[in-house]
Amino acid sequence: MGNPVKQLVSRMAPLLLIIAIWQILATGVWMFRNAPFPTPAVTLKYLVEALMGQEMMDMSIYRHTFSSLGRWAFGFLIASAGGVFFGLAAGWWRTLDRVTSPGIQVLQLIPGLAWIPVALLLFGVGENATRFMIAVTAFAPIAINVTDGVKQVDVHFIRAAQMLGARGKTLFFRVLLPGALPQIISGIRVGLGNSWRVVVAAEMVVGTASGLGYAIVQSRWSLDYPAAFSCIIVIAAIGLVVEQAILKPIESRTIRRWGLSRKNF
Amino acid sequence: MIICHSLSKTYATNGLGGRGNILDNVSFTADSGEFICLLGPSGCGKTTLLNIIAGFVQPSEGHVLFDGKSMTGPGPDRGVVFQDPTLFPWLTAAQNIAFGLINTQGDTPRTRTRVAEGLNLVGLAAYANAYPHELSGGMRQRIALARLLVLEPKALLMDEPFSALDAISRERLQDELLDIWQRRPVPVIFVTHNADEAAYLADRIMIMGPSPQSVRRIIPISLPRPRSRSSEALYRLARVLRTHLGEMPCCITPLNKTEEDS
Repeated sequence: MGNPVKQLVSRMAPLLLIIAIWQILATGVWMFRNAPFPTPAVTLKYLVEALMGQEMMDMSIYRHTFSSLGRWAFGFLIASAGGVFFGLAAGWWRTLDRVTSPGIQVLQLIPGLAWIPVALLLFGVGENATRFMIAVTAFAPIAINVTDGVKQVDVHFIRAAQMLGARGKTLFFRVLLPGALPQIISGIRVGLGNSWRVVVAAEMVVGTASGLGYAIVQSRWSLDYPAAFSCIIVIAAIGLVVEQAILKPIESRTIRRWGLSRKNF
Repeated sequence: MIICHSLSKTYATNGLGGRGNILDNVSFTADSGEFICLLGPSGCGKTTLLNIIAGFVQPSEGHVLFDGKSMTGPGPDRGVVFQDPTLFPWLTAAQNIAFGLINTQGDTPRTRTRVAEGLNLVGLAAYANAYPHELSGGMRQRIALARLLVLEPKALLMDEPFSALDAISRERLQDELLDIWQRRPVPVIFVTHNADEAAYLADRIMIMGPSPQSVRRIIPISLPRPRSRSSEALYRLARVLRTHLGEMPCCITPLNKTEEDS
């Protein structure tokens, strides 16, 4: 396994690489364009001050962060409830799947920001427009994964369950649903990532007056670039924590348990 | 008692509108307490025949009578053991055994005792709370057997249940199966492509071949039980079976089926 120092260095290497490129870029921009590109050190200093409570764009960085997280949670909960419910239904009733799946495939191809006009027409400027954009982006990958998950449950599991007397509701809740769980979780993971990117983008456009995306756009007017960079770091950190630290382990644990038992198939 | 009456299964073959026969006019009766082995090369329709009796697949022609009644679909009166144990990976060994009991009898205090009995029967009481991925192949197949036996099925249908196991586990499980079956005799229909296995287990062997002549030969076995794996008689029988199998192609090109069947 190597010694712990070596291990630490190799785990930190990707981060160090990013910081190095950033530093070179910042120095280059300063030299050749004479523009105030924030260096890693400047950004870190700003971020620490912001985390200590200094306000940016009339609010603490915490307010901005929580306001983005709140929107995300709201939109995402609607999308995942809808996507899981719809996916289960489409996996169970093939006709529903046949009729709707082309539409959902198309939905998945539309980038989140393309919904801005639709969101504004439906809800006007404000909170609900953002939530709509989040929900609509997260819905498609979840619905598609859940549908596929239910459809791909091994026919032998279904036969075994029927032979053991399972019918209708039992078959659905005790066999198809858990059988599709790994796919349901990966759908949720993809949907979560997609919608987080949309939250930030939507806040830049739809006029929410708070949130990390809003803070980034505002910092452009006030030329407060370190603030924008700090927000980017917070955005990346939240995305990373949710995806890598929470969902990935859950996903791989389910897949390991579900998959291994069919090893000698 | 299971009565199969002129069963045939035809599949539409892909694209060309042609039809292929996988099973042709099979009739036989499995008496209560009789151990029948279906022996034949891969692709000759043994599994299809078993799936029809289990109710997973509908025959194109003919019908199956089970204890005098015509059957409509799969059910807990006919326990099936698949080649893969197909335990539900999200349930523990005990929960897998309880699955059928809860479906048929509800979740009563008796369920727990029955589950414990089932685990004891296959010698895995210590693994009640283990998940399938924590068990070996032989242990999983034992649990798959236990989840049926607790339902007290009126017939056992087994589709090459031990073929994925190593030789030692296979022989152990064959003996345990015979032991369980002799204590509670029900008709067993056991699919295998292994001549030694058929010779060791069966009261009657149906040698199956490719359509249009699905049943090639029916051989009653009168060797007394318990049989010895190393006896001269068993050895001779296995050799006869091999000769019959040798008259057929070793594997049959699978039909390009459009209808799904394992």
